[in-house]
Amino acid sequence: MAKLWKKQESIFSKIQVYFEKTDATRDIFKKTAADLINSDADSSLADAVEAVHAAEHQADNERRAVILELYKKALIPESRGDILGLLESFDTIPNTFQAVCNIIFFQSIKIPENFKGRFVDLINVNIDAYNLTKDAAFCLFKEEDLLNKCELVCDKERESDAAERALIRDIYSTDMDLAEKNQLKDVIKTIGSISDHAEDVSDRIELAIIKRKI
Amino acid sequence: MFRLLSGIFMGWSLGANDSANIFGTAVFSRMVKFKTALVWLCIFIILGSMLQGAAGMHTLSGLVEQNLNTAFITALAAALTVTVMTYLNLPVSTSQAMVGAIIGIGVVIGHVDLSKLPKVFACWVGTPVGCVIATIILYPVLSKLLAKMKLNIFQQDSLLRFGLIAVGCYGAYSLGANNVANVTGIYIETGLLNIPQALILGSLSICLGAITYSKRVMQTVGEKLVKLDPFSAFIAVLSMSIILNIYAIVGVPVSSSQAIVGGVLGIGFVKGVKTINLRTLMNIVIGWLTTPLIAMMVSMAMYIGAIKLLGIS
Repeated sequence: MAKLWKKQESIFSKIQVYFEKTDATRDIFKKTAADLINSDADSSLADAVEAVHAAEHQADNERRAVILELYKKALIPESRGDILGLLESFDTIPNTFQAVCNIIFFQSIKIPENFKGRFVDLINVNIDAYNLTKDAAFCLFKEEDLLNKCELVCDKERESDAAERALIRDIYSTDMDLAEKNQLKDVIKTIGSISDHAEDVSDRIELAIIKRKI
Repeated sequence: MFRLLSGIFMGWSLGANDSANIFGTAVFSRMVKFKTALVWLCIFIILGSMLQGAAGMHTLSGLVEQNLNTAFITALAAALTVTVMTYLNLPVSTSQAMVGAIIGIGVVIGHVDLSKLPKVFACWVGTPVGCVIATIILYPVLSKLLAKMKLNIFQQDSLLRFGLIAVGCYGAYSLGANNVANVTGIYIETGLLNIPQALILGSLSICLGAITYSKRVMQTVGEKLVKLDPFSAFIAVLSMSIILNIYAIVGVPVSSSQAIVGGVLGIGFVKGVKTINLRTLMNIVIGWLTTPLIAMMVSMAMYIGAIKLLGIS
């Protein structure tokens, strides 16, 4: 039996490499975003922002390698479609890591001192959503039960939503310039979209698993 | 020996059309290369014909007393009917065309052994119905088994791919076993071929049709079947193969196209969705009536023409 799916092992090992690269992007993003927030988007962080971009680019290359492998190994079109869709959808998360850093850095957004902690907390909640989604994705590729992993992603998305709303409400209740408030709202929305994308990915995973159980 | 050409033509037509029902899904979804599918097809068609094809030969050769000329005309009339109806995109079954053509000759001669016909007609109706029933039984049993195995996406994919190729081989075996009688069965009564020769020539001419002309038909049929999920396609082809094999044992050649429609219809019943439209079902019923009638008229016209113009009997 093991011989039967030996062919697919190479696809799985490439997917693992892809996830390692997205994890690396996550780690660099986490540090860079916190530094950008705490240093008021200091220009000395240009290299760190570039590092997020480079890590995302590497993850992208690995994703392309998986796609190529998917077409080389004869998979049933439905399985291929599910995996391609999942990877494409998953890719929006590291893209958003990059977008968050770009917005803060290129627009030199200065987060007010009393909000910095809450911005970092919001980033952490969204990174948790990413981690949970990646765990759920492994259920599709390994013989693990999905259990309530997708539900946990939804919970995180709700937690992020609540934090976003509270943060936006509190920012608009200050006497900051309206343009600054709008800029901060954009940053909050972009950070929050990480968990939105994570939820989309977990929906796909759930669907792919349900499809195979009918 | 030239009289065998009409039988080979019939076999070619059968191979070109019916092999699509067997490997259409696997080839169209690029799970298996067309050339690889052809190798499997030919091996298993020949195996099926040689091991289980003889029973059907007895049924068809016993319907009407044939001589060399009538056998030639019967096969030619059936093959022409199948080819023209296929060209006109009308529903057609080689088995029904052959039986119709045999009866046409029998009507002109004035002797048809009607005792075997009820069995033949019952099997025609029983083919799609049997496939619906087989699908309704197989689908829940095998899906539960698959769920119990707790496979990941790659393992399930590999298993289904292997399954589709395996049922394709079984389908080819059943097609050979069931349909070889349509091709050369009528020559046995004439003494032109003995049973082993008829089985070899019949299966080889089916292979010839598969090799030379089945690719396009495979794409058309495959496209329709691939709209099903892979597991459903696997069950539909498996049901078709089982039913064809059962009728091969019973000794009545039936239509693989109608069998696969029955399988797909069964999937619809199991899943509570519409997989086959009313028109396709009507086409089967129309096919039951028109194919043998047209083939009968063609063979009658050809035989009467041959008697009047060429003076043959």
